[in-house]
Amino acid sequence: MPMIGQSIKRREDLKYVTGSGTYVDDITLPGMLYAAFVRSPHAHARLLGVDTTKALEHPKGIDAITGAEAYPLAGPMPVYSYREAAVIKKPDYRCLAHDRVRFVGEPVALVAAADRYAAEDVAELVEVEYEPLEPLMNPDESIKPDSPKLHDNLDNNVGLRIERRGGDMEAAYREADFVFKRRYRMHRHTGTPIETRGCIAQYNTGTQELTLHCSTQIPHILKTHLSEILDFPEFKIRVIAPDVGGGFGNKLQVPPEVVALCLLAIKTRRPVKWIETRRESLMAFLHAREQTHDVEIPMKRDGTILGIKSHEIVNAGGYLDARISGPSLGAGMWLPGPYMVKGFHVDIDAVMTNKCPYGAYRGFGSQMGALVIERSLDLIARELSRDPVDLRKQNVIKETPYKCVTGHEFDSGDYMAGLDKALEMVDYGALRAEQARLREEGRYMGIGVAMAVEGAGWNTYTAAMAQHYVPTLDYATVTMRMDTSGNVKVLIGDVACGTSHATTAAQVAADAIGLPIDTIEVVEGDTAVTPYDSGTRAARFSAVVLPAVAESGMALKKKVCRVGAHLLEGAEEDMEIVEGQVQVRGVPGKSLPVSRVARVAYSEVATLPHEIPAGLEATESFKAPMSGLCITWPYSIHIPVVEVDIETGTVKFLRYAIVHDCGVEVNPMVVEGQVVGGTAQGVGGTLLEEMVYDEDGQLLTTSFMDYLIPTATDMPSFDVCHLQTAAPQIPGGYKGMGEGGCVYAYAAVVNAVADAIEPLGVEITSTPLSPSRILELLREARG
Amino acid sequence: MIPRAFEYFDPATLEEAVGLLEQHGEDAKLMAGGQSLLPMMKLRMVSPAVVVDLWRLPELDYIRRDDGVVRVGAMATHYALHSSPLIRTTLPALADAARVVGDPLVRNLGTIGGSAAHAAYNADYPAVLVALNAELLAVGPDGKRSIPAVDFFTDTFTTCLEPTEIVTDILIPVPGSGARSAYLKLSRRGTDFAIVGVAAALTEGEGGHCADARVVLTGVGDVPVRVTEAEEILQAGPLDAERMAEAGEAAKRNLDPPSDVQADAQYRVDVSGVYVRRAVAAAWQRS
Ligand SMILES: Cc1cc2nc3c(=O)[nH]c(=O)nc-3n(C[C@H](O)[C@H](O)[C@H](O)COP(=O)(O)OP(=O)(O)OC[C@H]3O[C@@H](n4cnc5c(N)ncnc54)[C@H](O)[C@@H]3O)c2cc1C
Repeated sequence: MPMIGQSIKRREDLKYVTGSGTYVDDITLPGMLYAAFVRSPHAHARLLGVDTTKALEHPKGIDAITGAEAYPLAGPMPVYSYREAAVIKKPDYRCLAHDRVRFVGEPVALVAAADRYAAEDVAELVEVEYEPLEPLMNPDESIKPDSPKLHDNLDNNVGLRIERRGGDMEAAYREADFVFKRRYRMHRHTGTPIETRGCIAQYNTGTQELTLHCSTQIPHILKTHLSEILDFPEFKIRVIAPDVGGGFGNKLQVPPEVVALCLLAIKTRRPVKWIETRRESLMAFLHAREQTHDVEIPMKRDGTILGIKSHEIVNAGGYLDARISGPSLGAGMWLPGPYMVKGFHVDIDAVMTNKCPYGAYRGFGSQMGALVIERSLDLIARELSRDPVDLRKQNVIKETPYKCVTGHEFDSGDYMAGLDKALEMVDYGALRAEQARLREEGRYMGIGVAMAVEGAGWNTYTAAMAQHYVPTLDYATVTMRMDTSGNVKVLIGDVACGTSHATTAAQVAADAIGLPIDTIEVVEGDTAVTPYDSGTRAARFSAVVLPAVAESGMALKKKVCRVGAHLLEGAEEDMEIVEGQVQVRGVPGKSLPVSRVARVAYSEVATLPHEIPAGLEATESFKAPMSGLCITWPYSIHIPVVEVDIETGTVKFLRYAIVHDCGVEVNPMVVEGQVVGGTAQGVGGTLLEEMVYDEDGQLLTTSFMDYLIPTATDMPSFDVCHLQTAAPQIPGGYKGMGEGGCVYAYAAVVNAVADAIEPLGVEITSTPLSPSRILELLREARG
Repeated sequence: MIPRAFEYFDPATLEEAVGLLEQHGEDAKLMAGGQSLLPMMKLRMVSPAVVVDLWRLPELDYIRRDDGVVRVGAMATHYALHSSPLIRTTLPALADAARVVGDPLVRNLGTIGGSAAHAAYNADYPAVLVALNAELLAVGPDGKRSIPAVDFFTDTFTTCLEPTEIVTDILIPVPGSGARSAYLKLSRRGTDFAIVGVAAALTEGEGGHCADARVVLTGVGDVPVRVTEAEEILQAGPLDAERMAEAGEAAKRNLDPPSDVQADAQYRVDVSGVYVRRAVAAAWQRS
């Protein structure tokens, strides 16, 4: 029975539910020191002096490093460029602040002490002298030409400018009967992995090796960057990502803190552990999402969308994170959604302010694009007195493959059928009637519809690494190593962070080789044993890594068959492996267990002909097809149904229907988990989560008491319908998935809430939709 | 998340506990369930040099009825309160409040005495204790004293307790016939502190009238806020939906609630009216 397509239980769960996983904080190395950061209490200040004398007088204070000391030892943090995403001049972003501090929580110094408690006490004793400066919190202000500059080496506060054009926008305006215009504002929130950042850095004087146990999604990329930043030989750096308790894209970061930790480990010659507290994490781990869009949509009276144009402003924070252009571009490039438009035009300014730097977070910006187009469609439908679903049906792409004006090549799928399915799940017609009936009673039910195409697997990372644009494509390399008993280790350079790799990769490997799944084990996360890989990002695992698993598995199978053919005295081409037996196709009884073949290949090599190599190991790569920015195009339709209590502004879910198509599903249960988990995160981001700063630049949401992540009691139950349109360009037909739920939920939930209270004269164009914000909108509408 | 160093004691008797408080004065902090104290210590918002844990004092952990009074030990947990048949039947508002404090972990460890002594402006019990006319007993170097709940809460995070005093018992009169009560809380998520919480204690009189009403709000001031104008309206005629709505409107007058990241002051005012109406209705529907 093939394993692909089965909802087998997750193979990693036994470890997790019995508490036998190993996270960074579970690891203790001999002689280990504990680190704590001194962080800026100011949003913006000149750094006049950092004095560690008193701190090091503490009986347990061992050593410390300041920005001034680190400056010559570690180069600037990296910033990636994509095509047309010109980073003109980079802010001088260092691992520790050296001239000014530019956000509350910015690391200023790092201390090492004999234990974790002492580390905190020692950090408190570091004396830092600041000269507070006026903070710039609002990008609309700091973008102005006369605004004070946050970075002396920049011409102004625009850290990144991207201009993207596609199709014929002039024609779109020419043919338009009217131009729909709005300003949308999306609030700052971010991924909050249960395991915060953490790392142990260790320098071995004897081997001159730097070893990191680090909670990261990108062990290999981190290694490459550390080599550049520290000017340290890459082959002397080993990064081990043990179990990772959540990543959400945030852990794609090359953390400045980790660079500083490496310096301290080299300085002290002892392992140094840093485990971030939640407070630090909320202040200084990457934030995301905050953007505004000034949008114009040229329209025909008959409901045809002709084009979309936006000026997108991203609040980039105090420094540019390496991946800043990703979520900036992600929002812009997703503006047309799954609709046919003639013209596309986006100008993106990522603007420096005194907030935490802006980085990657599940969805990589695309939810803002989705929100803009989906919200606009609802508002346009209202203007034209049309049903919002009807307007979508008129404009949705009817046939795939489809080349979008953005340059995206949507590979496959039937968006209209997906929409129809979702409408059927909620019984849309009856629901609208029910809504009308409830309104008579003074109850406000809302139906939100959002549909989007998600890009899974971005073809861009090597270009990003090059720090200037070169055409590139994504790839993955996988090694399969069979042991002398016929069991197989699958070595992958990724890291699972709730993404079930140990299960899905084993399913694919089992089918590729022909072995029972319990003889296969997946090994990830250690750069010393796994092939180079760009990491767990961009929903690329199924689109790019699984095909590499399959290829590598088939290569291993070939090798097993070759030895088997010799032992069974058959032709290599006639061999097959079924349920762990090597056999001659069509000749029952002529078979050997794979374990026997393995034993011969390793231990009885002398009995094999000279041409057959010893051992059983294969390494293969899969290169993604060159199909534009992204590799595969899953899509989804979300229809949440909510009721808004107009007296309290609270939102209750009545239904939540999801239609999802990510191509061939390796494990439908895992897919459903990702869809539901992502959607929950999207719902939380829309209704609950917000990073709130006051005017002085102090972050007010520094604990989970103030930064509200959704809990089970806040969630509806989700009805998920799985469609499976095989990805035409990917062997196996998989598309990436995992970000989607988070992308569509945002637009869908906003539309649902807006639909509920629209009869009261409210127009929603910004988030979050907290109860107090909803009441404020209702109050404003009443006048 | 990492507290400063402290010395830890877990005395076996109340006298010993009082003695430790006397000895260490302002440097000492009592610990009950630790659900407010420990988070504050971990954030270094407080750093007591000495922690005196009350967990070994069984005489503080009980719930019982003595004649006309329900007595609750200061160390009774939120879970014990909301699962107690005695509390559920005689003091439903108190059971309501205990059920919505935090999450199961907090409810298993946190105590009513700790919550009262912590006196957060948005905690659930204070409003209920005032509405139900509770009295708190405290013991200190000078012996025992009894403090009415209205006088106990003096400011946010501040009570009339001396640093050397320990809350031992909470006494609540058993309501007479026709009494009914409820506590209703509005929070962002199921597990959060109240944006506003309303305790309503009503007594049914003749002909559908409410003979006595005590309505107390949490989350809208430094101490529990009793809305007497609303109470008067509730008692002024037959208690129907219209009267409840009128009382809700009246409750909004003169409120001066705080603003925070969860809700601004205006929001708190608006929903106070709604929640007064709903809490009164919920209490009134109980028989
Ligand atoms: C995640 C979370 C959610 C929460 N949600 C809510 C909520 O929704 N509503 C709510 O009301 N509360 C909430 N709380 C607080 C919770 O109710 C605490 O249990 C309560 O505030 C303190 O009780 P405790 O027994 O844990 O006291 P501790 O934390 O041990 O002590 C609190 C304070 O009281 C003092 N103290 C303790 N006992 C006595 C005593 N007998 N005499 C004198 N002083 C004493 C201590 O010195 C300390 O200053 C929440 C807490 C957490 C961690």
